[in-house]
Amino acid sequence: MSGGIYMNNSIILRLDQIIIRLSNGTLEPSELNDTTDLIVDAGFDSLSLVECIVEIEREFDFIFDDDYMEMEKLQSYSTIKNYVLSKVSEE
Amino acid sequence: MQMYATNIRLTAILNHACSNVSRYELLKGSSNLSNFPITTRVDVQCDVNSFLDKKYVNQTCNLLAKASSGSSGQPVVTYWRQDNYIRSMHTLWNKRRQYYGILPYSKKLDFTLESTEEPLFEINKSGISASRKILEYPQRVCQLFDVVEQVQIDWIYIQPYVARCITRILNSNKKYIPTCIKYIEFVGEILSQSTRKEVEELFNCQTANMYGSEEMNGIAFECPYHHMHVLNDNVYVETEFADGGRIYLTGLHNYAMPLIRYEQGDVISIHRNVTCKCGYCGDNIDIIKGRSYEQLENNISSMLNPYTLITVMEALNPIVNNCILEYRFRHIKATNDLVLFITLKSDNLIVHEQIKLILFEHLLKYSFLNRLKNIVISKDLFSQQKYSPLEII
Repeated sequence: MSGGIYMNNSIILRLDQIIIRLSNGTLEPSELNDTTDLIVDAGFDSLSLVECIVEIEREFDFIFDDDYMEMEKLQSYSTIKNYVLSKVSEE
Repeated sequence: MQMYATNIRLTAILNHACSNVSRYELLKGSSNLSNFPITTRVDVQCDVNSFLDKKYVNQTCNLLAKASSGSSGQPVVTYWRQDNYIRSMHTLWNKRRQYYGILPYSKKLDFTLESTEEPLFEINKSGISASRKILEYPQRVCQLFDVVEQVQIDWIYIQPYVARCITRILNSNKKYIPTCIKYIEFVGEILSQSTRKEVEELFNCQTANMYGSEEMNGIAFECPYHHMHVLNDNVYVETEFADGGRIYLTGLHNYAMPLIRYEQGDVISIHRNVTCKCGYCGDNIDIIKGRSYEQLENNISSMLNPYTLITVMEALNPIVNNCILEYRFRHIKATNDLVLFITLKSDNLIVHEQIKLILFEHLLKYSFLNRLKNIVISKDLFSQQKYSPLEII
């Protein structure tokens, strides 16, 4: 159980690093939380969202499903986090 | 598996278009692509609203607007929902990453800056953007490559004509080439083997050809085994004839403005159902022959087009010790005559005569011999516009 939590924490840490880096200083690590909107709070545009997806796919070695590529899902940090956790646990 | 996914996306976009887009509403209930009309650039330019999902008619402010370069006339504006655009771009980025290790945030040098005066290049979030005008100032090109090293540019996104000019400027100035450049992507014009060779020899890095448009994003992309694979994830490709001809594209992701059987304006040849060593299964675009209005038909129906002209010149140049630096054919519509403009390494009348003889021999194959009226030695063929080996006036 604790191993699972540890693994989840490590995944979230890697995800956070990607998002913080792509926000180009707009977002401090301490400001990233479940209510973060990547467009409003992290200053992402279309290209940064593509960057984010491609980088997450590279980091965690999976491909985003077509039906996940909707704006509401892509811009919400908590939705992305849960999606990444579920995809990594599928692998 | 891939074609199955493509077909599902195709059916979904056709159904959406029939139910939500006025141009297609009479086709409601039809998911058969062949029932849909061919759409031209002019159709879109004349009545963009008829291509929009009804909920966006006169409500495009929340959509991304992408305009084509307009190099073949008026630009075409395409509207995208942001998530659809991301999905569409994702296909090409996945291939860049898979084949060449290039990521969206890898630092890029491009030549898309629209500026005819200083600054002729600027550093931005994605790297450096330069103006084509810089080609007129060799010292500025050398300075640009100093900045390329400072910024640690990873890759270059470049039109073949610009790449050729840049390569020659850097070579003649014996400029050190930054080793940070890992990859060069050619876009927007037909890529000749000689240009590619020149660029690869100087930059000593991987190169690939990309065929795309603002209306569709990525259409085909070259893998490391040098095959131009159709990006089936993003577009569905049809051609006029089984093995090629005019290309008709259906975008698989743009639900705000579905473009179905869109005539891109290019003539290609296609190889269906190939399996490549890179793991791709699908269609390959073998040759891009140029724009449809650049296909000159002679009296025995063989075609002379930018691709055949490049082939002719590529065969000719080594015979004359590669002394032709630049060339451009001009076709005069009114008289159907051809004139060739060339820039030579040095003015040499013997070479000029030699070129004439060899060229006549080559053009004979295309029955265009009697149309070539003159060969003009020109000092400067520099163009601010997209380069084509064939100009039609």
